[in-house]
Amino acid sequence: MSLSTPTHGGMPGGILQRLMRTPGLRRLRGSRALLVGLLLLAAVVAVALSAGLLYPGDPRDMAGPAGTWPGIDARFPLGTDMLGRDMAAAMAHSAGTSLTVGIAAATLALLVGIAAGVLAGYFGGAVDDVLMRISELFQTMPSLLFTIILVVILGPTTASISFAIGITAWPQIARLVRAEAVRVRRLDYVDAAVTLGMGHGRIVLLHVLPNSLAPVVVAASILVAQAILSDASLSFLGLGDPNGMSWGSMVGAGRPMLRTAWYMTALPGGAIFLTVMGFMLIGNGLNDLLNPRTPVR
Amino acid sequence: MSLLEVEDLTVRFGDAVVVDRLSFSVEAGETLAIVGESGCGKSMTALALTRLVAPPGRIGGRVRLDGLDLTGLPEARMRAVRGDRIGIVFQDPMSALNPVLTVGEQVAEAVRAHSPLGARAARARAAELLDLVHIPDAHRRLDDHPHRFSGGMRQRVAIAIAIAANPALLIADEPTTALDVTIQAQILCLLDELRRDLGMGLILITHDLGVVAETADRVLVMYAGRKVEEQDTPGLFAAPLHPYTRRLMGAKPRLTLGEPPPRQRLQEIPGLVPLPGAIPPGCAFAPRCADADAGCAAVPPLQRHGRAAVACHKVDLAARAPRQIPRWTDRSQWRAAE
Repeated sequence: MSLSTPTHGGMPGGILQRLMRTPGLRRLRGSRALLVGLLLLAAVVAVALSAGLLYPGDPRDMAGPAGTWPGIDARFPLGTDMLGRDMAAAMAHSAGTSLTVGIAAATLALLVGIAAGVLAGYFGGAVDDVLMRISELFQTMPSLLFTIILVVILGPTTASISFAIGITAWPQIARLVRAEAVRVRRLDYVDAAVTLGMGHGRIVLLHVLPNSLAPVVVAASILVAQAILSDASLSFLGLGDPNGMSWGSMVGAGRPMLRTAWYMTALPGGAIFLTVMGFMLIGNGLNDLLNPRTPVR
Repeated sequence: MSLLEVEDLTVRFGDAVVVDRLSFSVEAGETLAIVGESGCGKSMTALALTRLVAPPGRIGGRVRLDGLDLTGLPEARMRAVRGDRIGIVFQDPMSALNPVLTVGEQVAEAVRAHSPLGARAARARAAELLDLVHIPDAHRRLDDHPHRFSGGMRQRVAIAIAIAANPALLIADEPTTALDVTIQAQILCLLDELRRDLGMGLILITHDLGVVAETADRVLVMYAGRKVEEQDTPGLFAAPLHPYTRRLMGAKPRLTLGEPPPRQRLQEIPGLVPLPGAIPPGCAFAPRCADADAGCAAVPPLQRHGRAAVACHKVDLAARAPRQIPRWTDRSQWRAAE
């Protein structure tokens, strides 16, 4: 069995191997995707948290000569942009914004989606019809366009952008949860709870909700990834928070210099890619771990 | 007055009559078995007793529990009756427990559904209940999740949940169908023991005549939503009256020790139970009955004699009655004699 031989990771006999052998983390072995995703996410979170320490002061201040390529000036390991702002500082400060928007939007979508899905699935009938028609209303509109309209109306702040992304993303969660709730609702332990004389609220919270959440765990991380992408798209279009830096706005700003200084676009683009990739890998890894139908590798 | 008195209980879905004017009673401490093929309306009867028939279905007739008329009760008070006065055990122990909660939490939930006990007291009571249904080492197993329990153990837990509030009536809907034969016997013994110790009335819904012989005091045979026969268990096994009951018994394999008896085909009952809504006029069993004649075109009235009843115009209950069947009161006696 390849599992028992120390072939995992690139560090022979290293920390990784020992880490994998601790009971709680042993299951991670089954999914390399999850591990890589978690490491990527940990790196992004570390950068976001330490941005204020590493680069105190406003990342929008001019720090040096404009258009310095990465690796030329030791003070600017990632170079400077066309206005002479430190790329590394800007990237670090943007990480927090992206994560905040992504997680806030996903949380909102999860709360609304889970509530709507569980109620629709449990009660069925008219409640189901009304909630599902509303969710279809949201789904028939192109979500980016819808988000843009909401941001334009509400004004571009981090909170409004999170709200706009979250409120357009909930129907997919609602449908997922509804399908599970419909399944769980027919199981004997729900019937048993009814025959015990329990009220609807108690049955939903105790039995239906906890048993309908398994697919949401996977969807949640993918939702964060999507939200980060939507946020990047918004800022690329210049619709982001004008007072903050973000990877999307950096890509947008660097666009005119694409032929002479492509790093201004590539670096924040790469950061978006890695973060989204991290969340996607976590989602896929969780799916491998939690889905009993996936063969063990 | 009996513990449970059911009069003309009827369940209909639109034009389809699923349970048709069913009347019976259950005494405290008594076991009534409801027997019949799949689709005879047995489970629907159980649901109707607790008024849990799903919406398009309508319930008619009267159900009285301890003198309290359940049919006219407002929904909020009915909810207080469910679980508290009537407990139900379902067929499939695999789906009867919530996989994300520990067994202790689930039993404690059931305890707290009808009593103001605090979390700690409810947990203690849960341990007591698990002990009562003979789960070994109950205290330590409180914190286990259902996947660590076998099918038989889960059914024990489901029974503990059903009796958590000390109900006067326990309805067990095919409680052993999904279990191994050896486990079946244990669960039946457990139900019997609980009935005796807690003085509950027990309604045992089953299609397994072996289960009936083992546990029931009285048997009600249903066909196509109607009662076709009711007798004390010894009487039923000694002399089944209705042709349907006789055919049911003929369709049951007999196991004997020693010399194998000459090979015999099992006598199956031809045809199927009619679908609700397509029940033939007259006697519902007539199309499948070998003895059917012109008289079967009319719905046979239910003849009663003592505690026996039969709905077949070819059986004269009063004429048969003198051939008295020994009426043992102690069931262990006839069980031994069987």
